[in-house]
Amino acid sequence: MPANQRVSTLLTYTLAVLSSMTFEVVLGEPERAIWLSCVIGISKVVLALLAGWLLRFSLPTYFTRPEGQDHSLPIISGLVVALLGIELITRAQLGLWLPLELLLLLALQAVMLALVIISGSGTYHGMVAVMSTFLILFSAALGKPWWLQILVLGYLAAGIWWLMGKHWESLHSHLISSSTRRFPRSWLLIVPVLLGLTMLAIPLGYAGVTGSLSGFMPSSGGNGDSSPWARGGVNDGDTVIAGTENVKSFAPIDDAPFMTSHDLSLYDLFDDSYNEPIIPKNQDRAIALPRQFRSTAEQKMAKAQTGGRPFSMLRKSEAEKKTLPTNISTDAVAFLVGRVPLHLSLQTFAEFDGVVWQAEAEPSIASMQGTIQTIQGKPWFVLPVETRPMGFGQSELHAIKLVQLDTNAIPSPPGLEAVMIDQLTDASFYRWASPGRLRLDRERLPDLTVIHLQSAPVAEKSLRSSPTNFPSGAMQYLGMPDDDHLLRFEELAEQITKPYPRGWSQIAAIRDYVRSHYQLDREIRPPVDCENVPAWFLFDSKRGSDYHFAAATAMLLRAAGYPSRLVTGLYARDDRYDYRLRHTAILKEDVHTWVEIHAGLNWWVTVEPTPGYKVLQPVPTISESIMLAIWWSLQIIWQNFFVLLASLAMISVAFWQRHHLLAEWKAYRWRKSCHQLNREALLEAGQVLSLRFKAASWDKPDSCTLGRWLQQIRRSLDSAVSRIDGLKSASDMDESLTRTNEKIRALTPALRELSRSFECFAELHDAALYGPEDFFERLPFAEAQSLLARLKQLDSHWSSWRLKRVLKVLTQESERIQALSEAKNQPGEFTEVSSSGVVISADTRKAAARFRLNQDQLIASA
Amino acid sequence: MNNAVIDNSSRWSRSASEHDPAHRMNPAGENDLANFRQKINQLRSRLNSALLGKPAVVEYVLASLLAQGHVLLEDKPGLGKTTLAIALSQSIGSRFRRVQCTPDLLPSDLTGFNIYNQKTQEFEFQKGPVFTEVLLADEINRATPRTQSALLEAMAEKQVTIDGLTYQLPATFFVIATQNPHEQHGTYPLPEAQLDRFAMKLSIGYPQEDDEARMLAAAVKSSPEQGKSVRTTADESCLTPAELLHLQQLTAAIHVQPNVQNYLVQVARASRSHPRIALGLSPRALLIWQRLGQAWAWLQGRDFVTPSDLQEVAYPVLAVRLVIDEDSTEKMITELISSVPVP
Repeated sequence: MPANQRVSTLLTYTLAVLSSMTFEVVLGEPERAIWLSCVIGISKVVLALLAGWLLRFSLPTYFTRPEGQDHSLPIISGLVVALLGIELITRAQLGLWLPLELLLLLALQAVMLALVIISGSGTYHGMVAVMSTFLILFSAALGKPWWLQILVLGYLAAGIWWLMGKHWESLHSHLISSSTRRFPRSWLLIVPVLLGLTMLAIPLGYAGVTGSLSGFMPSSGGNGDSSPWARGGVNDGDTVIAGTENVKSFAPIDDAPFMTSHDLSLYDLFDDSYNEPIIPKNQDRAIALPRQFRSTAEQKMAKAQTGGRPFSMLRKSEAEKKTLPTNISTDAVAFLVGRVPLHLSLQTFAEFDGVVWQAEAEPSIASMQGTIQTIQGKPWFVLPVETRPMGFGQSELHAIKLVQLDTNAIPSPPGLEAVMIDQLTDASFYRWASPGRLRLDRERLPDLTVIHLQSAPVAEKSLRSSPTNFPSGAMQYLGMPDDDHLLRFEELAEQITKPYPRGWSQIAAIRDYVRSHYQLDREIRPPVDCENVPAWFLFDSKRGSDYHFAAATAMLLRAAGYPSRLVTGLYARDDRYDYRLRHTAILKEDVHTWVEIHAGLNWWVTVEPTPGYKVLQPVPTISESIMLAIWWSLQIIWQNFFVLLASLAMISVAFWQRHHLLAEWKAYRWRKSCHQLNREALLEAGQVLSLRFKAASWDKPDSCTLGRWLQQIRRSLDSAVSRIDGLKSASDMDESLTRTNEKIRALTPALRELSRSFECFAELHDAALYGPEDFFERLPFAEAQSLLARLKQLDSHWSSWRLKRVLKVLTQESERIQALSEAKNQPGEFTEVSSSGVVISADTRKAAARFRLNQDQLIASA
Repeated sequence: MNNAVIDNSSRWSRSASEHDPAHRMNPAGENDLANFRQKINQLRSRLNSALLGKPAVVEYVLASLLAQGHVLLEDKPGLGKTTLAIALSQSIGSRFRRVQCTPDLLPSDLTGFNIYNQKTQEFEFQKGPVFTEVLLADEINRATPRTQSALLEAMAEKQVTIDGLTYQLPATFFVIATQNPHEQHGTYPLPEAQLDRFAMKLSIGYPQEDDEARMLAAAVKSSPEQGKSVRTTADESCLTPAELLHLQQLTAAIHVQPNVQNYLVQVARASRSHPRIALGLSPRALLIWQRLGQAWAWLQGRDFVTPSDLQEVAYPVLAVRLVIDEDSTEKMITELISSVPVP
């Protein structure tokens, strides 16, 4: 190694050490001692050098390859990807986060060290220097100690020295032309990989879980996602959108001012959406039965009726609805932060007489055993353990702010575990509204108050595999109107559930049956005198509103022996998720009715029978996410199958014919722009012709001039033509040659023309490229114009496709002749065409062999 | 000139054709070049008829002649090396000398010596065989290194120095040396320094089947005197030495574009850094290679040099210089040329 090169190598590694040290100091801040960071930074580079030495020792051949032809780039890219992957795993498994900026710098350092390992005899020194520059600049910008600037200054000095050395080296080697560096072919694989990833990413965005990626980027809280691992930020996130200026502004914060207003009651809300219930006018006479004849259910119904909170299945049709002012605003009734879609139950109904559901009575106060626990400084009201579905899913948080809704029921997601209203530290405020559902012990929920909800959604998959068999003990949830339809319900339920074992499979079967066999139609109403609305829905109309679906499903479930109840509430639609504000607005029309199944104690499982509505599933695991993304990709592909197929076909054809298309495009441009025969015009024409040969898979070798290449092809054309001319008739032809002979015979005039044009062009092109400067000035104008016209004619007549066809026929022909002459053990007719001198490359040899261009090794053949 | 020979290789007849586009498109030095073209064609056909079926060798020898480079013929005995040399010397109307190199050949046997004239009582210089236009040094590798190196000055400087006096050789001094590659006993391989003085190394090789037959037929028809082939028939020369000199000067003026020169430089650098080539191309080799390229372009009827011209002459030029083992020379040269893209 020459002395100056040794110095340059030393300087390169110095740069690497300085940048690595600076980065380690920043990475170790503030816990790690500075001296330790410096030692780690230095030792990393030293270890890399050692590894490189060992590698060279064990794999000497790898390092003799020229730059760009080894596999270093894929390996380094893989290293970066692996680093990011490791970070994902440590985040998921160990809960250890590295701030994004440090993570990226770590990747940069890893790339630099990898380059140090493989740099060998100075191959990648430039890259190492560039990487170290980025590393030290960004590290120094992030680091706090003032003396980091001294390191940067040292780096600067070493860097200048390094640059000067490199400049001199480049001056020395200026005359050595670089060998052509080609992008490794294997890198083309990146294109489909990227495409695949993009395809996977699109459905992730679609599915509305883009928000879940937000955790990857540590944030100071501006988006409501405050991360303790963030190194810094504006630090004003927690108050950035406090509703101090606009009371209706929403944020997951708890300091919004109170506001009173005339808001909708829960009943107004349902009446607005479902229209008002029809109150039967005629009441038959009745007689009071003795107490012992009355069932418990009837008692309960009576009790519920006294509460005056019925939910009627018979409702006025749209036409009867009062005409409302058209400009009525459809402001949201609530805003929700957290994953959607979400069912938020507000009211539950158990007793049903065929038309009207009665709201469930409030359980006794004694059953409320929840406690206030302070978690992270907030008073969480934690529900008793037995009410929670244990062992399913992971808890997740939602926050809801009711904007204009007059109710004291706390909107509860399925599997509610805990509730938190800031500053509300008294557990006695929380009451059971109905089993598994809370209310606040006041007239209404305070306006604009944020209610935080912790719930554990249950995955349908785990329900299927769970041993829960949905106890049928709770009688009030099994009652059905005792009329003629009871048997039909039971028959239908049995028919649906028969193939399945008892448990969730049967429930899901009923739900899916209703979902798939009935149509959602919000306009249709049962006849006013209908006495069993679910029966009307199931057996007559086969269409209905969501509450018809829910009631019918509840009836079927009860008929199959599963305790179930009707639930009304709000449905936070996933298509209303606002990606910018990261919340979901719940509008008036989002009121919804569904069914819940009693799964023991206070645990209720949501059953959603209405088509188009979904139940929130737990956050998918990584493998589930990938499967989901693949599923979504496949769906997108399926939905746009023909468009994609057509695009793919077009892209494939374009890729397949890319050389042709490029050649033709250049040829067209040349024809349009060229008006004079001069050096530039000819060189451009030469490029067009080279491209055309490339398209015809007759790639000109780099070491062969175009003129010579054309001469070789021209000679083979001539010989083919002369051979065909020499054959008097078809009878002269060998049987096996007849077909190609006929083809060539048909092409003969064109081949002659092509040969002449090639000859002319070869000379002209050589003159343009290698001739004296004034060559074309000396050409007579008329001659130049006629030559140009001829060239243009050649250019327009011989498209690359035509050229390819002809060359293909010639190849076939020469192969046949070769085979024939080998069979007869005598030289073929093409052997007479010879070209002396050195064969330029293997490609030329191959091409020559195709025509049996006997390379005239006259000189060396002695 | 035998037409069959021309037809066998359209390349060689091409430049002779009046309809050659290159010829037609050759506006530079039209008069000069056109005048000489006919003479060169005559010369070419004369040589071709002397050496049947070897147009390529003839073409290389012509190029060498125009480029003022010396030729080393490496071949077996009886393949027409001397015939070619004699035909050439007679065709260019110049003196021809032949030296049979043997181990006891002294340098003075080549260059000449001073002899004491008793009449005049003075030393008179007795010119040796090098004082000629065409010198055939037969079996040069049989001469001792001392004798071989006596040729060095003559070949490189076209002058001979004896006893402190320098004698100029003719300007068109041209050496054709032959050596037999297969006999190793009693030979002194030419040192690299001497090899570098030769422009190219050629092999004639056995003639083709029909050429051999025609040669035999021609020998039957002619009398023994006539059988001495061209020697008796070539009384009238195609070129005078003066014309040849002029032609050589014209050749040297053929245009070489800088990109073509750069190409030569690249090939040279590639040869120097090639792992299997012990001794790459010297600058002197590049000079003679460029000159040969000019000559080749001229023979093709062009007044500028293309990389193809250089490639055409690359094999004989490089074969004499690159120190590689014999078998892989061709492969190595092909590899070398292929590794450098043309401009």
